[in-house]
Amino acid sequence: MNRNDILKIIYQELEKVNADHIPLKEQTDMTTDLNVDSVSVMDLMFAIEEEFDVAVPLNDLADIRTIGELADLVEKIGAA
Amino acid sequence: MTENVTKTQLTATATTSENLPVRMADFETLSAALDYAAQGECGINFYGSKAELETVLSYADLAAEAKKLATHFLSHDDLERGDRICIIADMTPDFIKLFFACQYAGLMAVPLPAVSGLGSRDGYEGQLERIIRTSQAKMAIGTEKSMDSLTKAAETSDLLLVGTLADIENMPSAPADLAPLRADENSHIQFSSGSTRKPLGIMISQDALMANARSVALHGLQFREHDRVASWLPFYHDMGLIGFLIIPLTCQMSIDYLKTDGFARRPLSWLQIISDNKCTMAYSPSFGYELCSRRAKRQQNIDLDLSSWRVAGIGGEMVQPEILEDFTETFRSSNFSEKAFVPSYGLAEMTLAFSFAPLDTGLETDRINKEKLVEDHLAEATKDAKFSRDFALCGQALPGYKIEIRDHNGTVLPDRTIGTIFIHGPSMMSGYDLNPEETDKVIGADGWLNTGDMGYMKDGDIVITGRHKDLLIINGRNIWPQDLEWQVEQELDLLNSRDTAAFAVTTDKGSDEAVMLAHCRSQDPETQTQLRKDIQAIIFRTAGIHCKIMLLQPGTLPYTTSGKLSRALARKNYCSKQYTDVQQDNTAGDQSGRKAASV
Repeated sequence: MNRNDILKIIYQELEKVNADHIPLKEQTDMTTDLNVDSVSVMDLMFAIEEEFDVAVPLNDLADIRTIGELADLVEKIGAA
Repeated sequence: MTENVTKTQLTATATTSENLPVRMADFETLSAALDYAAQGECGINFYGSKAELETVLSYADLAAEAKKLATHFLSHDDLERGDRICIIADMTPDFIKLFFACQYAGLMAVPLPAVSGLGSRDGYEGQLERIIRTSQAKMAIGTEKSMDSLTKAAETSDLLLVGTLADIENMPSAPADLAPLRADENSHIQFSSGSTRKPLGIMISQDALMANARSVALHGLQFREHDRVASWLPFYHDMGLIGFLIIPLTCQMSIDYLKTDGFARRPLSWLQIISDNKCTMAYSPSFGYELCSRRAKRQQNIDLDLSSWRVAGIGGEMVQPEILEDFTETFRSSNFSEKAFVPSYGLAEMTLAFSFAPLDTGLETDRINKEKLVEDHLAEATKDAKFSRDFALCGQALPGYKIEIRDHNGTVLPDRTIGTIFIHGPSMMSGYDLNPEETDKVIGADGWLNTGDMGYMKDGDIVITGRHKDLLIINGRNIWPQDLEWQVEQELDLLNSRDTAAFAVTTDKGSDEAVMLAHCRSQDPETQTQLRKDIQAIIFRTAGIHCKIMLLQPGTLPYTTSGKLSRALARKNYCSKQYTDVQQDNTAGDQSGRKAASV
């Protein structure tokens, strides 16, 4: 699992809820720039778990805002 | 932490105990109920997000460990009987052990919410802080992971201890007699009412708890041999804590848990557990059933047998018939029977539930004329599919409970007239903790409880047409508009207090959609766009929902004569399209028109 693969999955999932078609990048703040809700966040977590077998704890998610931060977190948990 | 290590050897607890006669919640106290259950073979099983068994906690082990913890509490010199112990209500064995340790030690457990959601840390810590302070807690206990948040939240309170279960075990313990909470004392305090800004602790007595457990077991769900429950409902809500921990335990029933976030990622694991363990009862708000159907449609090879599931309960929000129909269609090939659906009604102020639709019959709806509903508050039956809405019948009041529909003046209304739902019964809360003023607002001199919910009666059946007038229920979560308004007004320089109004509008499908109206003082389109985005972001971080934002000219929102925001009027004006967004004004101009439309 490398960082680019993780980003690819995140972009792919978020593109589904990216109604305003803003360009997604690592700095994109998921809580401000995108119209996501808690259900779409969980869909994203499901996709990550399916792809990399990594379950992101809710407690860690509470500190995450940007796509880059999420990728870092998944990478860290996956490596542990 | 006490985790079972040898996962390969784990076996879930049995559904029935061979040598222990079933007793249906006929105990005086919760601790007596656990003492009895501990003599059997049943207990609690914790499953991971892929429906794999992770931990088993038999009632025997639970009782033993809770009693051991109780001796540590009892040895603490500065803890007095009835003192409050806040415990983060993660779906873990530790929470349950600590909760019951409080029962044996004569302490009041106060379940705290667990963290949830992207970027929600700050809001969460504020919420914890207010509950710890309001409850006048003496200790705050959580998992290791939650320690940072808990420590920060406890800063404003003077606590004897902020720590984990291990820290309690490390406290000295003298051999002491247990001092369980008595039948005439309270059981615990549940902070699931009021806004998160001004949390209200619901005090539930042992009597009320046992009365409701008996009613549900004997009459509402009519527990039988081989019943077994599965749940993902969090313990900091009454449906999770009372409905799916305490009541099954008082009837010595085995419980299978899927963690709430595991359910959110993999809702089908809930069904997998029901299928694997032949569970007979499981509850969810409509939203949970929707998540299951949605996921199932994207997944091949679903191999489930749901034929054992006799009570598929719906509670906690408005029942949405279409979602349930969809669920039935989706899982018909998995042997799910729509006759299992049991709409029910209750609220935490009444411990849990007091009306259930008849069992083994499925959802029964009442189709009523939409115009009469909105204009005249009448529930006139109609066959017309077009200008109507279907509402679920939530059954009759359980024996010992009474329901009345009243108007503003307190007059009891006849059948098919919509008003406020009042209830009376043996499981009423003792009151809001340390808050007689708020208690008096909901419990009248006549001893009846004002639920704040709207509904009507039809031949003895209760029909709910809207939950508490202010409450937003989105994806099964209760959100108070005051919390959203306060948060954005607090964080954004462009907004002052009383500049926003949040409410829910009901979509044609019966689900709630969040709307916020906000005054906008800037004429600059870029500033306006930024403001809209900022409001959206703050609401997301506060409540995890997507909210529709409408920016209005300053001075547009309606106030009462006493200067309070009139949310109801703002909502009414919004629904009749009397408001225009400042940006739509700037651009197209013909976006919405001004013709009146019905809701």
